Amino acid sequence: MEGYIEAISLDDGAIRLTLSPDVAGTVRTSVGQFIEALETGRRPGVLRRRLSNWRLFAHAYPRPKPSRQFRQRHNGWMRESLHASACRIRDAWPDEPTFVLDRAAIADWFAVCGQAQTLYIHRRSPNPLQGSFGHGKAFWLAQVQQYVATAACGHDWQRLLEYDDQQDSQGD
Amino acid sequence: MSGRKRDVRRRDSGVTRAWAVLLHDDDINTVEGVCYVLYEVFGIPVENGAHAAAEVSSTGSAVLGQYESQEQAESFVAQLQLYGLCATMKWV
Repeated sequence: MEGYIEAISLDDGAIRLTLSPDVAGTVRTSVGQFIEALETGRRPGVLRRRLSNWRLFAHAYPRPKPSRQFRQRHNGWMRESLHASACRIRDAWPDEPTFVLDRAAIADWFAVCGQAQTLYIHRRSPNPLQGSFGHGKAFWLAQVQQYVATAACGHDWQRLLEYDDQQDSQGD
Repeated sequence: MSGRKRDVRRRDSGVTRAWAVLLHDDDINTVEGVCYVLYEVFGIPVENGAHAAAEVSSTGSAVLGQYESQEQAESFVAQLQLYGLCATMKWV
């Protein structure tokens, strides 16, 4: 699939995100599948495997017991937060695949595009994309997340790149 | 949690100890993504976030902050994990 993504920083901290129709369709499908998985606890696919907390969230402590206690205290509201973010993205989906995202919407998109990849790949695997059935979806989710993050950092990121270029040229 | 015992030990030894929040390297998150999350969660400027991301990439992890309160450290870890970052905490 050949896709197109553009994310532009706007002056007020918002970004304008434009997706080609096929990328938009892929992301929209993934967001829907992510919402369903959070509601049913099952990932898409023939086997309908569980969407476990450890697949979404790393262990918080070096030792298992406090990590389990952390999960009991936090993973519930964390899943609910992701579900709410995904629902907001779905409900605000426009007719044309151009989105103006304010700061709250940027946070929703970043979190959901990152975490929805866990439906298709194991993020802590040494080679996350290998052998996974939905690696195309995961790829485009990662791309959109990357564009959103870069645009959200906006002019600061551009200044940093220019500074790095100056340092490199002075070192040559 | 044995927080009370640890507080006593800290007073006896005279050494300040705290809960450290750590960010670990992974094969998924990019420098730009880490910078964005660190700005959102901690208010860390993009340039400092890039330095932290570089440290994580080169050494495998970086300490993002140290907190007296376990609850506060857990709150930061949960927020970072919500964005998909591999964050942990430990008593140091």
